[in-house]
Amino acid sequence: MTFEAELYWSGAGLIALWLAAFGIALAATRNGAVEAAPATQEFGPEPESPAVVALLANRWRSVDRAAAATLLDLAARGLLELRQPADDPAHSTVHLTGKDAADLTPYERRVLARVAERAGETGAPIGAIAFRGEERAKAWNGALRQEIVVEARRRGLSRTRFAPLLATALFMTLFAPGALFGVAAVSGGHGIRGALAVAVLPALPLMWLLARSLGERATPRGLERAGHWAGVQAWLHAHEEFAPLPPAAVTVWDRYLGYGTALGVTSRAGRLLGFDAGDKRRVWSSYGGTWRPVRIRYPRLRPGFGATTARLLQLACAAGVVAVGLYLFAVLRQPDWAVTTGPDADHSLRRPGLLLSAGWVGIALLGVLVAGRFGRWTLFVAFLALMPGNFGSAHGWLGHAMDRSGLLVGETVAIVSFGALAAYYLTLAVLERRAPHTVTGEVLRMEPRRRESAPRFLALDTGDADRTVAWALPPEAPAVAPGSVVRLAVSPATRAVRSADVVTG
Amino acid sequence: MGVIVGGISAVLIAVLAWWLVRTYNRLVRLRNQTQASWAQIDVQLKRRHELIPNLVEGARGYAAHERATLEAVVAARGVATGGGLGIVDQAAAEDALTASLGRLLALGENYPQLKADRHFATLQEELTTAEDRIAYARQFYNSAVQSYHTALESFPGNLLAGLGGAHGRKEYFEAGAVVQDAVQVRFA
Repeated sequence: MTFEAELYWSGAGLIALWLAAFGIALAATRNGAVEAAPATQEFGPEPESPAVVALLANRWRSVDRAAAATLLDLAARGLLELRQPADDPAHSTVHLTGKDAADLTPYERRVLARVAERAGETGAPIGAIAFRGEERAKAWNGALRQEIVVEARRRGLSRTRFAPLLATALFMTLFAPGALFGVAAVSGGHGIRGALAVAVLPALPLMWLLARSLGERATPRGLERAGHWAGVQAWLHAHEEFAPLPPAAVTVWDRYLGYGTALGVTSRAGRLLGFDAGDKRRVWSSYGGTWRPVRIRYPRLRPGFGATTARLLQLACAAGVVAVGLYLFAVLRQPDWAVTTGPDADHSLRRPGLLLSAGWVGIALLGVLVAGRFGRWTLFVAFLALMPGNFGSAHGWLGHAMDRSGLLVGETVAIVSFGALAAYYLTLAVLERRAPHTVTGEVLRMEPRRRESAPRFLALDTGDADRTVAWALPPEAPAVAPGSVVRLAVSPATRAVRSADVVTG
Repeated sequence: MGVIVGGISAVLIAVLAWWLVRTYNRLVRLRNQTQASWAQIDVQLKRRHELIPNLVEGARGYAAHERATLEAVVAARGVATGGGLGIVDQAAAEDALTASLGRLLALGENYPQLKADRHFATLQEELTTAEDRIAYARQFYNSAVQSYHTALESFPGNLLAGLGGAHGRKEYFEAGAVVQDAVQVRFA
């Protein structure tokens, strides 16, 4: 065995060793079983807050429902008030009572601050508490989790899964196999870049495994309290009328509603009080004076959405090229193109469908090329597009289509459609040259697109309608925070934002 | 053809049987829940009853000549702990006890020394906590009774209730006029 091979095998062995050590560490630090106490309605002396109970109920992995449970608990303790003005609990509102909030924990203050930010002095619908973007919701909930974990540790209910020494040792040793691979690559004559890649690659999955397992685990006291709360959960579960209680029922059930939400029993209240990114298509807005839900439409399939004049002209050219190409192909093609020729040929049709498909797909490719959309998958998709024609030929179909001279019905439809599309793009390009309109309103949401080069959606509430269609913010324009009031110069035809001024941030 | 009809019939009968068994089991579960909820009320009531002798003794040290009030509390407690009461009678006895306790605690206003007594204050606090717990236990009990009644009166619960016996309406444990707080109406 060569020296390099020995190094590679040693590296592989180290990976196996690391995985074994990691598995032992996982097994040694797993949470013990929670022994559920008998069903009870008692919280016990000095009960944990609903947020900490949510951590325990989620097996120390997450704090799902903790924010909603904390809001309900704050309402039960008189710091907030929940009112349900009609039958639909989704239209409940939350109000600050002004009661002294001096003794609150950091996570309770965080929840209260979020409610205060939205509710102000007049109150807000509970749906307005949700954040209007994934990133902010994620950051806020991450910070909330940290604060809850600190409280759980202070109470002796939780601890870090791996001791610092163990975590450091696992982290440092996960680079050892890669180091051996790197040395082997260098001594095998590979370049430094290749050696670095070989050295780093094995560490990445191991690092991912380690990062996934870092977190909290139960203490013996934590398991005992989790067992008690499992008893409360069983008690609440047994009461069928408890599950569908709306948030405003906190007036009657006091802290039970908060604990029920933390334990996942009162599913309805927990669902309605979402401290998440919120609904993309239905956002509560108070711009214009009163709170109301605004429905947002994102025109994902609208041709020319957010396009510049140059881009519209390019798209018009592409559509025109396809229309003209299809017409020329239909007019110029001859039936004998698909007939076998040569000294031994019997003049039978050879794959007429494939020939037709090839023509159509070729023209489409030309259109894609002119439109500047030729990507890495284009040829593969084009290849797949040839398959139906090939399949049809193999079964004797489409032979008559090739025999016929002139336009086929499908071709006529396609030519008219692409011609109309070209005319549509040209019209948009002309309209785009007109002076922009100015609209002022509050940004409801900013939604990115899968393609980074595509314009982002900017949903704006101008205060005069309950429905809005998102505008197209160019990819190079700076992002605008939801909640800001902005003045936009827009082209209504393409819904493109030409400029944006923040009025109030 | 006959096999198909037979098979479909067997499946339908099995589904029907499963539905009936499930409904009956739900009735049993709800009835047991009312009993468990009543047991919780009983525990909380006993806790309150145990506090009262010490409270009376504490008050007697400072307000011995308020004999009528003290004896009323003792008598009301005697009725409440006497046993053999149905749910409605028990609720009435507890209401009477709550009313007499209210008068006892009001003595603290007339006797500053009694009010300042730490032991009396502690007992008073424990009593308040116990009464809160009774209120929640009563809510849970009444909620369980309501679910049980709904299941009993809905189809097919109303048909099945008679089959296994032991299913019948339960009494609500309702707060009497004495302990009911005035309802505050807020216009949103």
